[in-house]
Amino acid sequence: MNFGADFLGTWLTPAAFASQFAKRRKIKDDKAGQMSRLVQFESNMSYTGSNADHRVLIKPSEQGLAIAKLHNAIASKVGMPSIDINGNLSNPKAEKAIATVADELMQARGKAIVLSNSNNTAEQGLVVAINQGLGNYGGTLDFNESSNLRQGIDKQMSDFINELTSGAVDAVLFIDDANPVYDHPKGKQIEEALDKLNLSVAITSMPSETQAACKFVAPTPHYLESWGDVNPSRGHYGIVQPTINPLFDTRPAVISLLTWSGQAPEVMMGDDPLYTFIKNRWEAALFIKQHKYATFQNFWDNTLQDGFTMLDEEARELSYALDITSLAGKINRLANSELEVQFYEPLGIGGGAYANNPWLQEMPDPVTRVVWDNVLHIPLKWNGSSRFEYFKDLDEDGLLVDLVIEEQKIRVPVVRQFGQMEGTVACALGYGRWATGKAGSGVGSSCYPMLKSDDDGNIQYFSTMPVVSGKADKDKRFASVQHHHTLGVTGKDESAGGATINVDEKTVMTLGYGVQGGLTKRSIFRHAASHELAESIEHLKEERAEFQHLNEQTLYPDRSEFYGMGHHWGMSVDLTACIVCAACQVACVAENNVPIVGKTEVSRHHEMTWMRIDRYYYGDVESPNVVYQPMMCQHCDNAPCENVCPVAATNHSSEGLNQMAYNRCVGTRYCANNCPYKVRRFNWLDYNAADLFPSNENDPFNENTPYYADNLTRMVLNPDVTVRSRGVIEKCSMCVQRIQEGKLTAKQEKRMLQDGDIRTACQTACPTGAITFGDMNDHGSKLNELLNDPKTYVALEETNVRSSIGYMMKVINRNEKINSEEA
Amino acid sequence: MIYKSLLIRLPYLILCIFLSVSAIAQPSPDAGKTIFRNQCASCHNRNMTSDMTGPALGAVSERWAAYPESDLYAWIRNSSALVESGHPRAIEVYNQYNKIAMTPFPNLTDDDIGSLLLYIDGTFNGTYGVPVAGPVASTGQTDSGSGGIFSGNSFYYIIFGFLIILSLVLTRVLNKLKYLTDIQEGVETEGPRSLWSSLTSKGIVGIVIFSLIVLGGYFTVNNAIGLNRMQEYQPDQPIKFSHTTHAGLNKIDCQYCHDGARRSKHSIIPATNTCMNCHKAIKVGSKFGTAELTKIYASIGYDPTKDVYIENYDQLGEDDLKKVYTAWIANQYVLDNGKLDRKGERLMEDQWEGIKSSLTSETKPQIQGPIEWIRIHNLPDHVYFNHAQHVTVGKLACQQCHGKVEEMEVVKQYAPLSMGWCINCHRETDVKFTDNPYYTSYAKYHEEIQAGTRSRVTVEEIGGLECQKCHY
Repeated sequence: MNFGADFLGTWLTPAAFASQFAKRRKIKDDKAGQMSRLVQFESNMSYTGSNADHRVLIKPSEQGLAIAKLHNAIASKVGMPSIDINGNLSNPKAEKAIATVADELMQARGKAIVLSNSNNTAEQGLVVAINQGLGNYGGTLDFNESSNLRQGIDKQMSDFINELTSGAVDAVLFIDDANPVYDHPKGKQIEEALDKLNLSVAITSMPSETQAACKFVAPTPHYLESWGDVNPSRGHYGIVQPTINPLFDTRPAVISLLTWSGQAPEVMMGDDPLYTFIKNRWEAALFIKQHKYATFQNFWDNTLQDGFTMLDEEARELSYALDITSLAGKINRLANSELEVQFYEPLGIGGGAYANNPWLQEMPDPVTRVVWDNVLHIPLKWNGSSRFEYFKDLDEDGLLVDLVIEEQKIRVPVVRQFGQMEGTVACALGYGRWATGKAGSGVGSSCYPMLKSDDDGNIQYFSTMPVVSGKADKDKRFASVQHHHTLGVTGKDESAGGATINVDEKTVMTLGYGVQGGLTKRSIFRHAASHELAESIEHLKEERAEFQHLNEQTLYPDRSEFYGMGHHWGMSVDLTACIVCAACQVACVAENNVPIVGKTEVSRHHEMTWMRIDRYYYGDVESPNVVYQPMMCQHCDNAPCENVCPVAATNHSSEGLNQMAYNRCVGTRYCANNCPYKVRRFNWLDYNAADLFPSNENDPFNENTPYYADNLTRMVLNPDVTVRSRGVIEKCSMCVQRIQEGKLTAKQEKRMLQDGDIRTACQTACPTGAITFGDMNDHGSKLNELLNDPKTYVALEETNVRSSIGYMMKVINRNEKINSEEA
Repeated sequence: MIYKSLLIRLPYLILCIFLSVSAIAQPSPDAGKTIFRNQCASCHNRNMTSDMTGPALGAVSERWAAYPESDLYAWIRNSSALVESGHPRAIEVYNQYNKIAMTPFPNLTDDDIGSLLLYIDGTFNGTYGVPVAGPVASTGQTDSGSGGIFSGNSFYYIIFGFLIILSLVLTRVLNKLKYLTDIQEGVETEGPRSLWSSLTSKGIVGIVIFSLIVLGGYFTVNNAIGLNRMQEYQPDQPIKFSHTTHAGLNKIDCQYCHDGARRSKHSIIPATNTCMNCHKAIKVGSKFGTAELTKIYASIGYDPTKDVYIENYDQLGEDDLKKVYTAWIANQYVLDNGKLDRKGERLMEDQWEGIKSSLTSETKPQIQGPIEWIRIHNLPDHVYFNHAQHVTVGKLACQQCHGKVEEMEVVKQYAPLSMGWCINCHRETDVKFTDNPYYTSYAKYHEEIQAGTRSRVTVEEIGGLECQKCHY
């Protein structure tokens, strides 16, 4: 049960949560009943919400009321005092859903958890009370390993700003890349106040708005350039080792502080004073806490090798003695406004700290699939019979509107968002930075000045008084990859005056059912509900049998003996476990020298990502469920692309890989045209600055030199992977460089290749273990176990391309009572 | 008929020249080169135009032209003797070069000195090394071309020329015949068609243009394939490291220094530390004395006189370095020659300049730090090559791709490193199939080997010709 907390996207430590969440979702088909259920109460389609079994729509300002209602429902069942509340949720379904969920939570006492992203102390107090009432502490909630992240108190910060502006502060020191000038609602006031100070120092590793406002900058190395240590959660200590020598003339923040405070001499010994300092600190503070190692050196060496150590902290039992009744008055009041806006941290650049990372800027947002911009999610409503009605008649993605809250105004493109509650819109934070590097500056607009605080001084990430204008303009460079490289067909729409449309898309939008690909009844993605899993599996088995039968009538020669020897690489992707963190996509970009092309190029369908994550909606038109499908080269054994290449630049290896020889490619793009999965990418320009002709180069940030021509940027390139030039096709190679490396290691060690020796970049990055790579000829491999799972299907199996990638159907655990109209 | 007589006579002519040359030992610049390299090059510059320890030798014969030739010969054999005898030119040169006497070479014969002078003049004038007409140069030419016109392409050229003449003659005959038949048949003609008009007919012009395009294409493609191929590339390295001495004479294993070859992609250029394993003890080289080895010490900061590594070497200035290493060079000179004379000082100065120029470059102003060796073998960026795969797994000898490095004084690129060359080897080379359990998964081949129907598995047969074995 979750009130808006995006714990699979950006809330606290999503990677850790994701792996824990996936453990109870990846269920063997005979144990389908044991699957966990996630019910999300929210207004906009969040990353977590898109993975939820049910989404229940409530307005942002109603969250307090909804929590209170759940509290009272639970309280009445467990004998806790209720609180006085009045008012009703604007969505009648939500009222009933709370009652149903309360019943379910009672059944799962001690094994359930209620979360909220609320930044209102009273609301969180109620969440604590609910969890306490359900007996979740000690079960699903453990204080012995509590997270140490994001412990700031908004009130203290605003007090500080008041002192700063009133002139009570003489000097300010900003550490750890803190950037309040940008990401605090009162950033403007801080900037002005800093201007009047004589001493303001920013200890930062990157240019930022705060750094620009400070008198002095003490540049620090990147954390991978220097030693460091971390304590991310209780009892969990890690050492950060430098991976390269510092590139620039920098000094670690700790050493700066020690020097300024006059404590430096004693730690300045040795080649690396920070190393000496950290080691001494560990010896003094942590070595004594452990009993495993007799000598400090032994303890240090082992921790260094493992990267971290777990120390037994004193066990603690926390309980709250909350004055529940007094909380009722402090929860956010209902606004009864026509329109509310929810602000959220986007998956890629978070709160803006990563805005200057072009990989993350060009990673399509999994829900909106927009790159290089923040957008306003606007609702669309099915009129019940023939068409959708759009908010303010904004009938196209990428139209620009003005979002106005009091004196703050930004112009943003809109995206019509399924599952966006009527009467609400949503907009991302983290954009609109003006003083970071060349990639991040000037991308989108900042919403931080629009945030307001509640009575306790806590910043509230929604607003009840937004005004959204009608169509103000159109963003010609609006880049959403949703309609790029689709499996659908394009055609002329006579009713729209002969305009070219995506036929599948049109079917969805006008008929209200089906999905992309639905028109031609192709087997692209599959889903099942856990209580009907057996039927779905039976259905899948029948369909696959039919496909097998069809595929027997083939022109392709039987090459099973050819592939049966040596290795035959394959992959399995579990759609249930995929929570669309997009880490695989970025890992692929990093591993394979996939270039960044910039917004304009993406808007021309020129994005180069080898792996894309397709998004499909299905189910309830008001609040649909989502299937995310990582789609990359399927390494078909009967590859359609290979047959049409006039120069045999793409051909098949004996290990089942669909090979791409860039130097042989002459750029006809026949292969991309013939690929049923649309995963081949063409280098329209010299994105990597790899050849000698300046006119071929791409200049996404309007600089004099192309982005990749910079030697510092080029350090990002993987030396084991060819840098592609203009005019060639490229695509997923299944990380062939890793395959070759793994094979060589086995050969050198004179042993057979073990299952798990080779892991692709996407597999390594996946927090939930949704991706498994392996050798199909190794009969005991994990891969074969997954490929033989009855939930596994092959995308477009009917086309007889003999794909090497198996997808496991998405299984969700629904309780149809939750979203039903009846109680 | 004249052709025929020439063809018969030519081999005799060649044979005569050959015999006449080889019968008498005559001075030759090749012999001179050897003598120069062995005995003169340590003091005299090889380019003959600039001074080193000794004066530039270019045009030395002209400077001595006023005196009998025997004076110059005597001067070369024993210069101090000539100076003492009061020869005016000898005294002039002696004074001009700071009164440092040249090492005497009493063993040089008149022929040796003749050869030497030929080589010096040839190099100075730029005629040596270039095939030129002249009695000496043509000796070599005739010698190597003793196969005569029947070897190589010349035979085809002659046939080709003969056929062209034949076709011209036949064309003319045909034109005449056509004219005659025309007359006989009563067709009106203006006379026999001229040879020129036949040659400029559409058909002939078309054929000529077509063959020019085909030939042009053929040569363009062939030359383009060879672009950027660096076979035989043999740059001078900052240190005259001799593989002949190390790998050949002393039989040091290749992988003692290039230890990356067995475990990584790169064979690696060994760090100077590796040199120091031996050269802490062997401090004077057999070929170049202190001249080359001191470069290693200067790079890494080792003081060979005191046998210690110098503290804070990075922070020392050039003058400090010079003091340390010239002192060492001087010490060695004194050990060899008894005292530090002017020649020794010159040598010291020259060797220091050598160290400085070898260890610094535009991008590396400091003498301290790694030696900037020049990379010889360089594959294109889109090729993946791994030494470990070939050396450790494939058990190939280094010489298979690098040639007999142990016989190379200066290393050169032996193989073309072309894709055809790689592929060919992958076709022909056997995999170490039965020794390595990795290959167990190739069950079919194992069965065939056991059944006796197969004796070997080549790299090709396990997919060694597939694109993504080398390109990804």
